[in-house]
Amino acid sequence: MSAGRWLTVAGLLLIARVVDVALLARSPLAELGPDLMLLVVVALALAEGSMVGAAVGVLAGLLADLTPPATGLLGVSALGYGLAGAVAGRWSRRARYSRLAAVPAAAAAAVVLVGVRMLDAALRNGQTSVTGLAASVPTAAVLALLVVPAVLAVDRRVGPEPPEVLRW
Amino acid sequence: MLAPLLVLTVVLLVLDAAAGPGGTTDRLRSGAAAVLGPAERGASSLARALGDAGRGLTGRTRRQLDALQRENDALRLQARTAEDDRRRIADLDALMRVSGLGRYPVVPARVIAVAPLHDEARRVTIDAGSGDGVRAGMSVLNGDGLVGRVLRAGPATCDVLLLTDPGFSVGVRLEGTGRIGVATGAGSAPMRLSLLDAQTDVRRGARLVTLGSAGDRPFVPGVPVGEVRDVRVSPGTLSRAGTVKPYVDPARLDLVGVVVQPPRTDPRDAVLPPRPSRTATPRATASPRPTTNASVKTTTRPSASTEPRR
Repeated sequence: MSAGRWLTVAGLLLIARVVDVALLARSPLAELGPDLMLLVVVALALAEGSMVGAAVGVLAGLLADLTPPATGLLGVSALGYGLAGAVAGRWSRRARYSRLAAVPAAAAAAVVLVGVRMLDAALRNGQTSVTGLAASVPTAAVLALLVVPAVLAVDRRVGPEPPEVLRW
Repeated sequence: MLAPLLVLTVVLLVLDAAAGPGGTTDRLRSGAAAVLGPAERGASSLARALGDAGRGLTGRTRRQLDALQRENDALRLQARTAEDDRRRIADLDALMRVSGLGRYPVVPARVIAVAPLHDEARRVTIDAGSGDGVRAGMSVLNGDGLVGRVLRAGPATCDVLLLTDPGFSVGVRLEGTGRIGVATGAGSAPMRLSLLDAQTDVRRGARLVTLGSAGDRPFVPGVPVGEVRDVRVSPGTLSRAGTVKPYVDPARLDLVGVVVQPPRTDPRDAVLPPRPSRTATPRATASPRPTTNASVKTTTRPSASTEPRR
């Protein structure tokens, strides 16, 4: 991916995170655990595959760990989002034929992220709330239908996808 | 691309786990806060402005487009904002009353960002930072009582650990008897209380204030914390356990105050709101926020403010 495209991705991640903590977490939707940043990672993973998905995920996680109010150890979210991006990338082949592939990809990524967060919370606090975290999986699946095409549209405007042949 | 990022992540993890407060990673965090804090502040105030406009203008501009109607709408919007301003003034008033009774010099601030629930940490960012005299470890309160303590302060924003966070603990004193204990956050569950004296006789509804810390950091003494919900008797233990309902509702935090200087003398429980009377019905005024009750209650108890403290 080109440098310009990486910059766009970083900007999208930044916007998504600020919207997450400054608007969504304070709205009545907070109970559902919406996570726009995860969906940006999923979108890039669907477009470019597991490796790029994981790299974007690590970037996203570092950003999440640094945005105030920063929580937990620096780097834990990076591993969680990275893993989520790698898993979402497995649906990249199917995503070329159907937009609906975003739904299982986002759900799988959210499941991975919930797992990492539960582990982290259990190590940090000695307790964790499964029910609160589980809500974010269906939320991610539903929101993916709206957010992933939007992110991909922005991404395509910046760096037009090269023809299939050139990718080999 | 991926390998260097992963190495970086692992290095940061180890650095952060090994370094104490004030280490390299903390400097990284405050650097990020300097950039991202104002962004969050902007997003938050933009959303507030849009919300105000949306509430005042729904469906009216579409029907009548003449100048008169537009003027009418503008006036209406002004009236609505005035209502919201009045609520904010009431908040500030209650905050100042609590801080006035306890003689806390406070810096008022607003909540601008909240940690998402799935982060499993109850933290918020407020728009006061080291530029306003806020330092890590200061007490944060609002008109209802203790909100939390400052975790780290950026230039214009700071992170606050709320009292419902599982990592939060505060020494408390029982109103009246002065018995001491520790209250610990437990996420969405009520706070846990452990009283250091197993012989303490505690009833439901007993009220707690902060004990205060050595050097008045992180907690200044005498800030209302909450009410005892229940106390369990567990034979064979040295302490008595129970649960506490905090006065502050973390889900509805807006205006808070950071105590930048401790009071000169320990106000003890002099700043507690008076016991709710059975006959009085201050709630019947259909006020959307409980802070108006505080103003009603404190005025009915003038003795609290005139208590000799020096």
